[in-house]
Amino acid sequence: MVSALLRSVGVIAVIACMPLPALAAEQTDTGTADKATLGKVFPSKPGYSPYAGRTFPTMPLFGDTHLHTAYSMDAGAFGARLTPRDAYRFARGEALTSNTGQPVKLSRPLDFLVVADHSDGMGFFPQLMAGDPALLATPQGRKWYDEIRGGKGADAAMDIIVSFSNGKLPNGFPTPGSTAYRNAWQETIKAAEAYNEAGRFTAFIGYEWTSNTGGNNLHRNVVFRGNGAQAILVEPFTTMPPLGSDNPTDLWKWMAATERKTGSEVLAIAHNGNLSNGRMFPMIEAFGKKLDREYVETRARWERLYEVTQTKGTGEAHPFLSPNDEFANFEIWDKGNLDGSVAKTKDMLEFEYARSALMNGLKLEAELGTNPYKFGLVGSTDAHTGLAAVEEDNFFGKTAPQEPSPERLTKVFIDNPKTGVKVMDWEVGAAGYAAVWATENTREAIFDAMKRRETYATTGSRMIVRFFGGWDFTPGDANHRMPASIGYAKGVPMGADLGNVPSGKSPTFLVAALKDAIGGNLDRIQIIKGWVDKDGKAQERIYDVAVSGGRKIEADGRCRTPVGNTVDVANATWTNTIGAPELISVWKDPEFDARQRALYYARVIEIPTPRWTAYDVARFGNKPLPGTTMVLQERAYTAPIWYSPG
Amino acid sequence: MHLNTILKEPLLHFLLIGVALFAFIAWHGARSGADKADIVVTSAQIEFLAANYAKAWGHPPTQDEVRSLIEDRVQEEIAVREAMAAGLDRDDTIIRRRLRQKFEVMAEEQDAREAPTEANLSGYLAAHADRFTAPATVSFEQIVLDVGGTATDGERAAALAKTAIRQGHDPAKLGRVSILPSRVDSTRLDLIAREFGTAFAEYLPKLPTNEWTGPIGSAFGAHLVRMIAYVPGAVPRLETVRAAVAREWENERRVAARTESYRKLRERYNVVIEARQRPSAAAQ
Repeated sequence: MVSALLRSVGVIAVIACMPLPALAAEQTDTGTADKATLGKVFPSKPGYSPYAGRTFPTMPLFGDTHLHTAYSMDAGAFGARLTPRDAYRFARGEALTSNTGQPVKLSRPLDFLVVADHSDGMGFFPQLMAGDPALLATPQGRKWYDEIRGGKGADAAMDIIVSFSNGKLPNGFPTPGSTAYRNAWQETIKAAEAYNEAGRFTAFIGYEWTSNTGGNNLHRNVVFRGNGAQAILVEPFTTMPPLGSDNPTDLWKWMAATERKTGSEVLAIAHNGNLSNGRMFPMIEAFGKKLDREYVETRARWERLYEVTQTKGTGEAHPFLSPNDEFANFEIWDKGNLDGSVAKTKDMLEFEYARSALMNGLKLEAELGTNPYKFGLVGSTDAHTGLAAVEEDNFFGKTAPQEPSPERLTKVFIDNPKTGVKVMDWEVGAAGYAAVWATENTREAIFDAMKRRETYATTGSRMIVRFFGGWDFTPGDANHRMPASIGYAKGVPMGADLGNVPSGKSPTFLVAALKDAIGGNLDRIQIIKGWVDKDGKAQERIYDVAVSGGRKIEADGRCRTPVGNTVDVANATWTNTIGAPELISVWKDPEFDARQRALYYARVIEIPTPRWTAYDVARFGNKPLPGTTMVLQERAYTAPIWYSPG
Repeated sequence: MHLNTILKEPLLHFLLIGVALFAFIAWHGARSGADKADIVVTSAQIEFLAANYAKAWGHPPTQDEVRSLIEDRVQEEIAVREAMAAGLDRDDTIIRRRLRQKFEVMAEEQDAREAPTEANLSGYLAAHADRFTAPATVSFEQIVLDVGGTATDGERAAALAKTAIRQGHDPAKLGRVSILPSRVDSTRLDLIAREFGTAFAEYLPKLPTNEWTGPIGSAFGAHLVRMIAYVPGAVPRLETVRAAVAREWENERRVAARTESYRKLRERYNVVIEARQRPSAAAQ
């Protein structure tokens, strides 16, 4: 093989970052190439174009499906000033002035963005501040306006938020049907239309439906496939009765009605099960109703993706649920629900985390015929700043007061003295982004890829990850020149089904990952298998399938040698002298039982790099609180590939 | 921007009131026993306090609790007035920042927006041609050489691979396996920069076409590249970018509205800036 030959010439490790001068042809230090020798190692073959007619996606698109601006009531009240227009500009790569007056720019543009402002009270803050007459005609609107203008903005903000949480907002508060509400929705749509540019940048129309009764997070982001002319035919679904509802089944009804009315498809992406206190992925009942066929079918139809990593924690796996997973303890938020009003108990966890939900979904499929938790994975920011800036060295926080400052390392994010739930600002994560294998950069192509779940989540890094499953991948496929073409030819991509098992076969997977061009090298690729055993119990197992640096994968499929650590915390630097820029492997499930439902997803882990907290300390020269996490291993989680016995 | 509207805003008077109160108390404090300032807790405010209490605690306040809410409000009012009179608000970063935010929101929101004329747009395009220039595109083939980082390793591998190609071997079989695309067709150079790294992308336009050249370094190693086509960016006609030009024009006006309101208001102030005490400090 040529790779073997070339490997003998060069060695490992350091990566050339600058162009090297071209050499004169045929002058090699290994002597003149001998045709006969080369003929053996470079078997020549009649040329034909493997590229013609290629229709599969060749590069992933990176974006954020969950960004708030000043149009979100809570964001605005706490000082966000940037609007949806600003948010789209920033995501397209422009330099902006942040909410706290700091210059900010992304290292690289994003390919798409959904501005997802809260549907309840959408546009309330800008309308109020602009002295909107409709809002000022209401007593409470007038009062808030006067308070804010009279220097009591903080009082007003707290009052607005408490009123919302308790479902006690005044008449005239922007609700669907009111002029103020309609204006905000129109502005949101207009901003998306202005910045959407086929082939260059996709600006989706969307919003967040913020079901938060009792502080339990059941939030969903709603994304439109269509354009402004379609989206304007409806107004977002809210949670406040009587127009809205906090029950997801009512959101799904709204989605069905919206598709009929507008002709635009819509999808919903749930997030922060970790703050739902056991309610995000129910197994028995939801909102007092036993789970039935209708529930599982409807949920499976509308909720094809789950946002697994964002600023308020990462929800792939929990160390309590996965004690054998040394990578499970990553950016975990498990102290309570969203407002800290109820502390967490261990029995809630199973119904909050993506891995357990994916496994439980297999059980529900066996029981009710459809898997309601058959979702692909994405990451997004949930930033309330209009800035999708979640790179560790460029993190602009979750809210305007969390934009870079010497104080943010020591401030408090949630503090509920009654329950003892306390979350510090340093625990907020700089995550994540959604990667989508779309055939082109348009609303339609990205939406369709989301719908077929051909997506993966990253915690902020932009690594490229391929994952294919089939029955016939062989180790040699990992040496194929175009892994994607063999992947699509012999199997199905992430998010799909394996289909019927040919007699006697086991599932095989082709998995490959390329580091972020400006990020850390890769530590390893893992495949995580979840299944339901013969006793109907959910099981999970982790396999290391490709590891860097020649480390050994033991007989049980695990590599227990850590990759090492080059991070200089004080200076917030690291080197790519460990790990690998690219990993690829073919893996076959050694314990497959064709009678048992199963799912497989890939997790790609980078070498350790500085966390945003380390950059803060290096730049501000301040002191972190004891226990502050300063180093992390960025990662990607692919959508699973499922197997069901025919 | 309506200057007069702004100047009439109570908000703008906020700090001035603080200053006035301070002056008043400084003057008034000396004459104890004269007329007192009023603190009036209106019935509407009491209702508001009671309603807030009910929201927080889930039941309406008792008589005693109402009394204590009122007393608390009176204390708050006294504290706020005295603090402002003493000028405690003036150097408070948080108060100043919030005031500025509110003020700027008003400045932008009150800017009347007109649709741009044809002349506006063509003028804007001409003045900012670089912003609308279609990005350069490239088509090329590449091989990731299976070597480490030293220049010699890269050169050896590249030379060997070039020899092999010249001798008729299929380039698609050379180098190491990678999920980087082995062929790229008419793709924007900025996307190549994102994928392969900036240094690699910047090098591409310099390459001769239809010739395997290398090694060229990237974030992933050394590459051999055959350039197929390089199409430099060009300034488009207005018709093809009208929407984008209109969008940028409007955005610039919005920013200009804010800048302009500052400029006008600044005319009303005599701004004095003292010399720095230690001018060399920042240079260190």
